[in-house]
Amino acid sequence: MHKILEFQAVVLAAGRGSRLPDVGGTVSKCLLPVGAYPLLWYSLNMLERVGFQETMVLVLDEDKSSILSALEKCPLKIKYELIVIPAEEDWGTANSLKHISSRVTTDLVVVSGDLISNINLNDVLNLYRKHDAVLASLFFNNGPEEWIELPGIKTKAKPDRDLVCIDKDTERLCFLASASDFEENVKIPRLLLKKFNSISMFSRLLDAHVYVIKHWVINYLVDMDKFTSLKGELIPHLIKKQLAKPKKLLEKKGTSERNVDVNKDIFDYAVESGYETQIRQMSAYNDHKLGNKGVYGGDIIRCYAHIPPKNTFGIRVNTLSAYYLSNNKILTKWEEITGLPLYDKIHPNSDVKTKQIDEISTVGDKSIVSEKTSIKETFIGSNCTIENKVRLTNCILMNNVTIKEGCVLQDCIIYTGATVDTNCSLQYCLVGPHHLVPTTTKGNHQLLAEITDNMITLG
Amino acid sequence: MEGEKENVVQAVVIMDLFNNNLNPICTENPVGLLPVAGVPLIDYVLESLVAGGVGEVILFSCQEPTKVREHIKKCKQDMVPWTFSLDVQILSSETCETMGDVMREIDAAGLVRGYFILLGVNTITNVNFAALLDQHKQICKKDKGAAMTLVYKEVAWDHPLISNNKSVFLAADGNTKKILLYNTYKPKCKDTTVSLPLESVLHHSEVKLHHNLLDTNIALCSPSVPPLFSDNFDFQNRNDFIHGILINEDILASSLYYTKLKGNQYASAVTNWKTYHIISLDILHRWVHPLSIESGSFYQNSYTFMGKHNYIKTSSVLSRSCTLQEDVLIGSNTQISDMASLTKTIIGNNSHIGKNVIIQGSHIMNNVVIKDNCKITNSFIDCDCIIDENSILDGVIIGSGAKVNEDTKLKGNIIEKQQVNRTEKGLSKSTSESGTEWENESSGDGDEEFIGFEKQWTDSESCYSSDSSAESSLADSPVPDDTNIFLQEVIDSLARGYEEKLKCDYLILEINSSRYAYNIQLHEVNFYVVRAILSLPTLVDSKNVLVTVRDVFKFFHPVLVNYIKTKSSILDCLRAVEDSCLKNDWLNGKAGQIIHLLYNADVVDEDSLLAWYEDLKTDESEIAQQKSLVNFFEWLNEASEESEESE
Repeated sequence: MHKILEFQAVVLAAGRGSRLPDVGGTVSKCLLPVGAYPLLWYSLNMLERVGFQETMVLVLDEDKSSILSALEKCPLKIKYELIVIPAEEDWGTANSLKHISSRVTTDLVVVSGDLISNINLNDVLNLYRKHDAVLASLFFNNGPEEWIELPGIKTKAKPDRDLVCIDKDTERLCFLASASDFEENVKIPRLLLKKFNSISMFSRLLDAHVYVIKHWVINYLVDMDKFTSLKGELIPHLIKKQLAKPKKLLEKKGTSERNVDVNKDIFDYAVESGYETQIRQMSAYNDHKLGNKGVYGGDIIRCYAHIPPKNTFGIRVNTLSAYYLSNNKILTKWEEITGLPLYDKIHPNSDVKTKQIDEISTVGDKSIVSEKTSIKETFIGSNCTIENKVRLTNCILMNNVTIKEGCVLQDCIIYTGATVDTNCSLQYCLVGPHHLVPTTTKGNHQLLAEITDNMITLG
Repeated sequence: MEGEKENVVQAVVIMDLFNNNLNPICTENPVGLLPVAGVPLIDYVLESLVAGGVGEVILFSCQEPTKVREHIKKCKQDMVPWTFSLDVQILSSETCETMGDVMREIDAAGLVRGYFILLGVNTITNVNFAALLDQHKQICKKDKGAAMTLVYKEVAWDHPLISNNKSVFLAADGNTKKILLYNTYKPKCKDTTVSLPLESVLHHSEVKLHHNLLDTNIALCSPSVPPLFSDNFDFQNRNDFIHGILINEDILASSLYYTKLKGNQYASAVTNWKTYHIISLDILHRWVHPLSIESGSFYQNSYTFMGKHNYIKTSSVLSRSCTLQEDVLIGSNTQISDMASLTKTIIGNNSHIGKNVIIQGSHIMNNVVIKDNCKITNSFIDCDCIIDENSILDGVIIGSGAKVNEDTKLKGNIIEKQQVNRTEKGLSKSTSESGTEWENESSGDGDEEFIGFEKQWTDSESCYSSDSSAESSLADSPVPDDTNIFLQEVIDSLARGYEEKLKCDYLILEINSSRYAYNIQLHEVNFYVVRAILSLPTLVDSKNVLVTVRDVFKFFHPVLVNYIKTKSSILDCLRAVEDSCLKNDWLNGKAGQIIHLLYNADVVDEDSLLAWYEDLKTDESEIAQQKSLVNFFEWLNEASEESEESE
């Protein structure tokens, strides 16, 4: 195995899961169990599959120890270095990148810690290499989101959607904005339409949050000191700058003598080191067919987007529905996604006494499932106890959950350490971490958790 | 037999452009007969239709249909190839003023059997029409409301055919190719952003955005298109149609699609002098194969290919010392004298080019004499012109039979026969108006390669849709045409209604439909209805005018009441009376009596009458002094005083 020195990888796993419902208590997003492993493992596994031998992982201070212990149990060859972000600071993704800027020595692959996909990352890296891009990104075209009834309180909030413009001929990414930025009309520069011949505006793509970026962008990020979010600010900024042209040398000279730092613009960073420009001029290659412009239309900053074929699996576990879906689907696509053989659905160390358990359900390490229980399409984590006469249908039980005798649970998510007391009947409910659901509770679309003041007003 | 006929692909060719972009050359001759690279446009169209699998053509001609008929007849006599397989029908209507009118006529005549191809006579193409129409039928199977598929050619934004036309912006569903938004921009438009409705963007997973499409003026139509034009009087041209359909998609239950021509298919439309020039060169460069100079599609091929895209007819006479640089076409019996230099130029038959003449990027028709030492760039010279020695013409359009005197220097002018003797000074005015506008617009375009080409023609831009200069040559008519026609139609309707004692409700309907057909404002309608009533033929012939007027008013009372309701409409009515009394002899001196009749019929009220009378006095109108009127107002004042007293 040779070492890839071309790229460094960084996994952003310091997300607080702000799009997931507040269930009271702290749940770190990257440790949510999906299948047998925590969510974070899937991004690390994806990097490992394309040959990365080491990666940086940005985590929150408070999560560090639990992440370490969780990852220890998972099969991983890749070396991971956890870098802590101070918990009290509410840093955006760009701030976090700035935090590690001193360690970055090559081009950077930024992967979000909540991605589960069977994509071959080489497709994105090759797109980046082929065009000597500044940015290469990955978007999934999954078609319309599958509609499922979600546990917990019903909300009407619609997920925010990205508006992405991609030139289909050249795979150039030419516009990225959030649909919520616009009221009635979306405004697009006419220049874009003149420049690119077959622009498509997509509104249902899923940004995988996989960005391959040039090394100088990190320096630019540090020096500019105005970006907090990667997706929200830095990436759109780069995309916009594609249309810009560097200032003429003469114009700049006058000002640069006075104050070099202030007048530095992005083109002072985007300097090519070798003979790239000359090679490009001498080559007969052109990336577009029509018109009389040279290759890349003379653009210095080039952003690309890769859209894998429709059957590629890709999901970002940052909403409840995505979490629910990922757990439903992970087993059917296990080998594709992880490249590993499917593990035993019923862990050897578990104790399953019932026969009424279907093939889709899984039981984790050291969990006990008593007799006379019926378990269908349910995921049971480790150290769980399911007592007699319990019926579970389409539920997710995280670790250390106890379900007492006579409970009937359907379409529920039970967070770590929770206990459901005897004879409860719950449908579409969320049970918060370490919460005790009193006996004979009946619930439908409810949140059962250590309720804070905030939650009461909501409920 | 019936079934066979149904399978024949039908095409409708609209023989007019309904604009003055190609003036003054096409003011007298139909556009179809304008030669492009030596061949009339109509021949390209018919030839391409045959090659594209079309079996039946309807030519709809509004301007000089006899000339078109003669041309087609001559083609048939000459046994031009297309005449064997193409069934050509020529229709004409002098009253059609827009493409919408033409479509309504076609609908009324019921000439179109099913799906058909709609194109303008200015389209030059080598596409397979039948295959395109099949494609449209496929779309119609999926979407019953599909009315029209627009055909576009994709080119780069910096292509001269885009920069010299109104550019199209199109947003369409990426999967179905259904058009969601359609906009046109003027050349060099300053708009920097395009806005799309967020809702429709979110509604479609992929929206294609195109701003580099060349309108080929070809549309594939469903049978529903002509009725749609009939139902919507305000559709005047294809753009109106497109906008109307997109805005009222739900109401009209119709939708539009687009298709892009693939690879080597060529299609473009001659819309102005610049595109005319570009397309001429495209033909010389054989882009439109099989429609090209040398392939022999056009009549007997008697051109000799000289290399560098130079073609000469074998009967032409070239001096040894003349140079044809590139892209030159020379017709039969044309003489080129010593030291003449030609480039990117097309010269017709029987012309004579003098010594040391330099011609660049110009089009010279038949029987033109250009005398020695002239320099002609980017100009169009129609048949039978004489350009005298040492003239310098730049971007000039010269109508047929004109003569340019020695040592004339012209830039960006339009010259017609009757204007020839005008001095330079008089002409320069029109140049500056339209010329500067274009120069401003053309600056700041950064693409090096095409500039040479473009710059050459920018200078001549004044000839491109230069409304200012074109209008100046029109005779000043007292009333705009539309309103005159409208008035005549209303008079006709009313006269017929009066004779046949028709119900007034029907007459109102008739008037309203004429109104929409000619785009008449409401206040004008009020005016012209009254004016029409007072201009009825029965009044003219009548012995006792006032009695007839009374009868007429009585009969048309419902019509009058329908239009004359509000204060402002009453004033319109009174103004019409004033106008009629001044213009119609038979009402001379009877204004007072007519007003009285209207007053008795409760059409006009006192206040308005008084206000109007004041207006008349202040305007010093002729009829204010009329005795009958003065009497009437005296009577009115007395009457009102009396009524006040009695109260």
